[in-house]
Amino acid sequence: MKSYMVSQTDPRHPTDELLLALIHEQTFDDAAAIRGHVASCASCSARSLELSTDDATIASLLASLDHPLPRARPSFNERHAHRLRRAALVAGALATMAGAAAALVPSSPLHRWIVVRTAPAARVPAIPTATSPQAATTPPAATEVPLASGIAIPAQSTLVVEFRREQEGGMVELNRSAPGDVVFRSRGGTTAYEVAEGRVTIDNQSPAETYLIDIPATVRQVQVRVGSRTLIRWPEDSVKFALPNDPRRARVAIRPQAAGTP
Amino acid sequence: MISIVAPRSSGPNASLTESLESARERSRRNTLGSQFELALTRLYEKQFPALYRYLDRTLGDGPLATDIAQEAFIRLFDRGAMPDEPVAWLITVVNNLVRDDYRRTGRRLRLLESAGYNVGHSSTAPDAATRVDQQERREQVRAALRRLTLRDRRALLLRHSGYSYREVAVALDITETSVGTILLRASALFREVYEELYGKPD
Repeated sequence: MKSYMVSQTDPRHPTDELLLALIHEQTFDDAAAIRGHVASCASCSARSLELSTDDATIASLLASLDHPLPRARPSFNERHAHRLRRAALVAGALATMAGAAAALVPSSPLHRWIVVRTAPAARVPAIPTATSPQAATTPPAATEVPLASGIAIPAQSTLVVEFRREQEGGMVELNRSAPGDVVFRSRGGTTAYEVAEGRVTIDNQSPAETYLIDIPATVRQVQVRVGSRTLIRWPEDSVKFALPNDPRRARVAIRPQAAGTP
Repeated sequence: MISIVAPRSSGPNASLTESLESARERSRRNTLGSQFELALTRLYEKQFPALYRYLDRTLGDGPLATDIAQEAFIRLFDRGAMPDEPVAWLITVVNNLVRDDYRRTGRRLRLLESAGYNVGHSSTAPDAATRVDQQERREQVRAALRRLTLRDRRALLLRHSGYSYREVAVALDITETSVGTILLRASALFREVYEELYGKPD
């Protein structure tokens, strides 16, 4: 390759850099004017051709290094699921820590509730277990325990909720909500959540009085399981469990199978 | 995305307002998230070939080039938002990954020296003589490239992988006007070294 710079001897001619930039189809000021000059100037035209040939030779040499382009794609969905799982673990841990912290603060409602529940003389009456589906729709006496923090997860067409273990009392309340996330809250107890694809596991080691689940209309099927048994199938059981004055809400008592769960 | 839900407020109006605000915020986040993923997918489709080509020519190792290019996009995905200069950002990330990879595994020797890699990567398997010729040509090109400085080599490989002067400038942290000078110098030296070692290319 010759290494002269035409413009150093004649300012009317563009530099090799500019000629190369033209060859590389870069846009810059005066590109059109320079292109016009090259077209009408024999020496610039020859130099441009020389640079272009050199450039093509280098391109060809470098192309000899190439291997076939792979067809693989990074799985952003998998990555998304991984982040979801990680966020769920963090959310679960935070919820557990928040519950534990609330339970330890003497003035907190949760602490008061635990004290009441654990004191033998002042035990809160167990939520009556229903012997028939209709009885199950009768809500228990209202408690003063406020709702604790919970989690919200993106809605999918099906939702499976699993309680890790049986519990003696307590209710599950399903509420058909406006489109949005599925929201889990609990009243009383210390609840931790684990979230997987379309499935939420509720760790009810320290049982709550009520588990409230807001289910947007985009969720078509809901299954609530306690241990190995199925407590609710929605929409199949919706009529059976719906509150008389509010068909969008259902309330079901959690109780062991031996107590005659439908 | 999972979020922690605050306890409900006692007043019905406050609860409704909070719910609406929460729903709006979630909707906004979901919209932004899906817009970002769409932009990322488009960027991937447009930029992956050039990024892979640049890495493949730099490393001489197709699978490693694939891994590093994909890792750069994964990092962009994890970043959650587009940088101001996504292309330059990707190049910077892959350059750092290449450097880290050499540091970590002592793969420096693999740079431009990968031997016998092409077996199994061609859609139509060339005969033995062609493979030897290809391998010999690769070794020659790599030997000539090794004579360039790192910046000149990167500029030359980036340009010939399809990046614009502006993208090369941002990625290598140099001015756009100096890209032409660097390319001209790198091209001349590469050609000169190659011809000195192996004669004029076919």
